[in-house]
Amino acid sequence: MKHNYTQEDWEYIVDTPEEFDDAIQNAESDNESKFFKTLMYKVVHEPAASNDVLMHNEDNEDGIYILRVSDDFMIGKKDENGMDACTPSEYSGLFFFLSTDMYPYLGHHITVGEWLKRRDYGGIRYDANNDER
Amino acid sequence: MGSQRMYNPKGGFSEYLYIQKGDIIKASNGVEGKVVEKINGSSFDGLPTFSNTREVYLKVNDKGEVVQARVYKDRKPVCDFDFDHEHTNPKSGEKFPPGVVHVQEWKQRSNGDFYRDSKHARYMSKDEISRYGELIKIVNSAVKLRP
Repeated sequence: MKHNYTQEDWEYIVDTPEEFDDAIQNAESDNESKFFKTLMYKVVHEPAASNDVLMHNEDNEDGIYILRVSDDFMIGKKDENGMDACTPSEYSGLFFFLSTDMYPYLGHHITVGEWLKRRDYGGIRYDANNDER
Repeated sequence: MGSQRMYNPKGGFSEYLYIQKGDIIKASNGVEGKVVEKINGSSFDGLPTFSNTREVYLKVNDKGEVVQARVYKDRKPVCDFDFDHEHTNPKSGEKFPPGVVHVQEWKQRSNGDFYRDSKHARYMSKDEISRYGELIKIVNSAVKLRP
């Protein structure tokens, strides 16, 4: 897959274009493909200094939220009052983040990647970069 | 204080996106910071890319606790001091626990964009503690500057 990215684009990014290419080529649904294509663009071109709200706690039944700054991804959970139900955690790099266990938030073992796949990426927001608001 | 789009290098912004909350906070070494909030924002709003006049901007959470400080030089972002969440570095798996400050630096690309270097989260340096440690302790006394 050819891109217009330069080497400098990836200098401070944990993930590689090859990892994104592989994920896009092996996507199991259109929504999964869209997720990786969009995130590839976002991590390179949208620093999101004031947070990109990829998943809002109101958009899923588990109260999970996912925020992005550059290619740091934070996961947390809100209770019914909108307060943090447990300590949020941040991971550097999308693919590392997707491999992390959501047990602290859900009480059962499932990775972030599997959780997103099971819901076919439902609830993911691609237009909620706070830098653009 | 605002985004890259609205930043005017000669001073100020085309539109101000944040407002100051409360008084300027001053440390005895002269370092000043202030809590800022996005106008018509939400609980998921982070700190702005650029500052207007101050060296340090501070973010509060839903409980009113300061949870992040962003340092600026010449209005441009230098680094973030985070202390409300756990951070895990890739590959090494090194973890930075909540309640202890971890640092991530901002870098500028040749096209002018700023990007936070996610590869090298670390603890505060001696110089950073000397300059910003007191300010952080003033705004959140429970935070540890080092493990």
